[in-house]
Amino acid sequence: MSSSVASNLYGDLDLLVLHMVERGGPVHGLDVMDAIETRSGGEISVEDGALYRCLHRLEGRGLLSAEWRMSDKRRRAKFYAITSAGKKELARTRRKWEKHIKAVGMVLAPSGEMKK
Amino acid sequence: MTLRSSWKRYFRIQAWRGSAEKEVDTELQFHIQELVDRYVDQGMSETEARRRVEDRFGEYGPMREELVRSQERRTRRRRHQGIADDLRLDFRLSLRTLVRRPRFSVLAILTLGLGVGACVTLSSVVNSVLLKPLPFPESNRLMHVGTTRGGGLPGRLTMPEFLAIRQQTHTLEYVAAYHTVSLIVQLDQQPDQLVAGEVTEDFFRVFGIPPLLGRAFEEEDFRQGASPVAILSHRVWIQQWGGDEGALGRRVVAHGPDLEEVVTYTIVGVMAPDFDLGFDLLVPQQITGTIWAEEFMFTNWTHSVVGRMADGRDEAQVGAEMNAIAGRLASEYPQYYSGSLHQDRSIGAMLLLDKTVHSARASTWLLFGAAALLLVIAVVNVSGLYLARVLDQRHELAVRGALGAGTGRLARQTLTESLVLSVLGTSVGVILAFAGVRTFRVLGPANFPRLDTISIGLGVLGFSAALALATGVLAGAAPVAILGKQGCGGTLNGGSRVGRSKGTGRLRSGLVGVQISLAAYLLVGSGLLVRSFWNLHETELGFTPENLSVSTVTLPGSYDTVEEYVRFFTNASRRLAETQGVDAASWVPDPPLYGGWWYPEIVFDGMPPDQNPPYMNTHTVGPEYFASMGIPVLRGRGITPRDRAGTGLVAVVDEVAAAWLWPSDEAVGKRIRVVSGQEPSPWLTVVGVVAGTPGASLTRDPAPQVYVPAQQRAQRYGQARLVVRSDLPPTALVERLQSVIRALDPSIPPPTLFPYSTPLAAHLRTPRFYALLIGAFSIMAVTLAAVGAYSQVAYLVMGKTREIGIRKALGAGVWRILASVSRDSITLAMAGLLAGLVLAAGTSRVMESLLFGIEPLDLITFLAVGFVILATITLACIFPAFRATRIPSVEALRSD
Repeated sequence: MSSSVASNLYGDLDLLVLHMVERGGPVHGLDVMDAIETRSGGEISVEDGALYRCLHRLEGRGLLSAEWRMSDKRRRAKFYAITSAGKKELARTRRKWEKHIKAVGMVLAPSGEMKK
Repeated sequence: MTLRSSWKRYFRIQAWRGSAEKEVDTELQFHIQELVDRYVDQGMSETEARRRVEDRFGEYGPMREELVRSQERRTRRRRHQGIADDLRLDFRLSLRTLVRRPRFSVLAILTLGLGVGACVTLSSVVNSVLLKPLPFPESNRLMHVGTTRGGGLPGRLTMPEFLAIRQQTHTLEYVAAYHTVSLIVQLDQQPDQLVAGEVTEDFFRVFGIPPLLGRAFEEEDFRQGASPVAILSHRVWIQQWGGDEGALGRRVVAHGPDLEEVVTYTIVGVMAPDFDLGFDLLVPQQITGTIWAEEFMFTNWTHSVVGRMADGRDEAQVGAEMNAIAGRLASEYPQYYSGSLHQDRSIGAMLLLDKTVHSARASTWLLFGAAALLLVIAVVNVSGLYLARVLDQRHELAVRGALGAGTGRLARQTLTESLVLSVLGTSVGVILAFAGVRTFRVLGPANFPRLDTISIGLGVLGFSAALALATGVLAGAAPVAILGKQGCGGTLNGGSRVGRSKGTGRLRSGLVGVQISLAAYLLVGSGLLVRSFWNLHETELGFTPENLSVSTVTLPGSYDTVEEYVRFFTNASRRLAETQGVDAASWVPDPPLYGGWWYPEIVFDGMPPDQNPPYMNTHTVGPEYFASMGIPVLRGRGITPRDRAGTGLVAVVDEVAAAWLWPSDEAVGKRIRVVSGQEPSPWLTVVGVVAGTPGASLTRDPAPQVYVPAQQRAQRYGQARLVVRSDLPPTALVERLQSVIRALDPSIPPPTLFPYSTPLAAHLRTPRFYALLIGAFSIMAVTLAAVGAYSQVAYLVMGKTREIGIRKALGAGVWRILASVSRDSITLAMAGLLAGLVLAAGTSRVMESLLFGIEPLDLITFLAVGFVILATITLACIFPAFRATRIPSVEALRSD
């Protein structure tokens, strides 16, 4: 199964968000955003609107579950956690991504002749 | 801060669910506020920080909208999921509950099954017989045209009438006539008799179904002198020719009473299997050059006429046109259209479907009504059962209510349960209906229209599904209503007194009362039918059917004079009478119950000159007719072999005719003239008076009959009946008969013989059928009502056990206790009974057409029904009360 060359931006974000929620869950949206930015060393910054669209989409697909919590400052926040379906999907997407990376790497590698 | 620790600062909110908008706004506001706080911490002012955040978010509005929408979608889906889960749970719970209480479940399912089964069976009958269109293309344009008397059901037409219609009609696109012809053909070794339909040119165009094989009749086939052709019916094609396509072109040699000579038909076609009017084959009618005299044609209603309505016309227009054509004909041929016989007569038209099912319409709807009533009783019964169960479970329900199940939830559960019950009950009912339909087809009277097309179609199955839903909802309605009204809170502390409030008791009693009144209603109906049937059965027949047999003999066309006809049958009956074992034998074309064939005018001694002579059914009989039939000769004598051509002309009348013609005088010795067309009608002397007999059917009032010796005056028909009195077993008698016929003329097909009980039974079959069906329904209804009453009283009595114990301890007699305990129930029963009887009295007129010899408001029937119901219900009530009194007082006092 070959992966398409044009990478799916949607897909990338889903993968990242799922991963971050799994690592630190339950988390609220701001935390996820911060975490992605921090761990990518600032390379990837997520747009606020895109993040929430992604979170809601993942919740709609049953990959995330949400609950509301109240802070001591009396602010309500929505926290997301990963579901078992989400875990499965994360593993699947990660495998696909890693295969993709390897394939790209193989194409770009200097060694290795092009087979006639 | 690290991902892991942030959420610990937040406390979980128990199930906060705002509206979608609120949720999205809250989430976004949190995000925004946190960011603002961060920027402020970094040193910006509040306003600057806010602006920064706004810039980050960009298109806030549309994004928020999108989020809100997706949130709403999600909420909806969650809610639906919740309901679906609840329903699934309810379903499983219902099944478990039903299995845990097998007696209740089985009783309820069977009861519903009975009611639904009856209903579905009768729906199939109604659908297949009354509603389904005939199996012809555009069958709603097929009309039956015929003679009407005072606007009644159209019958048959004369040939000239058909010709006039064919020539003059604008409202009918095609019109054709057909009539029955007997053919004797040589098949294998024996001559066989076939029933042929002689049809006119447009026959196939009217019905619209072309032949399966070969061709339809064409114009040349109808011309004078054309080579004779025939089209086989599908049935005969399969039976006699084995479905062989080579049958086309084969020849059939036929002769018969309606043919002048032997005719050889060539088979040119085979009819489609659905097209069955009861004929073995079809032959073309040659209209010109017919062998009948004009007068005969004008005075014999022989032809059935069907037509296909033209486009854009309707029933009323056709009827009006037929009427006009009739009028024109009457004025053109006044000599044939005058006299009392023609007074109300005209020509009318009716949809072919209506004509076909007319005889069964009223009774079928009646049966359907009875089945529907039975279903209602069944539903009410189950509702009562269910209510009782729910009330018994009040405690359990109260506990569940306290644990958080809302009243709505419990009601939904109850309803689900009753729906499951009714689906199961309906399934049982549909299975029963398959058996019911088969039984109907087997037991149904032979003349029930479209009997063999009755089947359970998809429409009826859909109807049953709707029934399942309706009965489920209705059966559960009562308990749900109770739950709703009284709620489940506050009963946690009740003892077994729980649920025995006056209100629910009254509701249950009301349900029983309804059952009783409906059962009484049904019972009245069946009582009337049963008595009617019995009357029919016991009708004074006027003749003696025991040891009496009848045989129809058809003569070939070689017997083409009246003399030959009379001679054959006189010889046959004489030889038969001389056979060993036969007491007497005679012959007549139309014995009782075989229809009256000849209605000449009777001129009689003392008839006022200005009066029109009456028409009376006249029979031309062989000698010793009355002795053979067992008809008592009341005065004078019967007809003997000495009454023949050349001796004094005589006649015999029955007591009805005698009373009509000479009400205050003795009939013997008077004279009559039998006037029919242009035949000579000399004066005949009445030599005897005999008992009256039924003419065509048992139900009509006895009509006057006149008898003349066939050897002095006869009509020639294609056949006649031999009547034989003998106590030989049927097989032996048939042998004697067939050998007599064979000896006289071997080309006549061997006749069959029936004991007279067969036509009698045929006449009784219909009323017996209806009486049986409605009788069965009402027995079921009464049983259900009795069971309902029994359980209701048992339930009441349980609550009064303590009271009974006290009374017994105080020394009250058993009967007094019984009386006081069951008084309410019996009062209720009487109220229900009264309601049912009043209802029956108000509507029994509907049944009038089905009754014979009994009024719709027959007092005896009503009283009998009242007695039966009262007795049954009283027994049902007393029994549990009686059992309660047998409980030792100590136990009773302790019970609660």
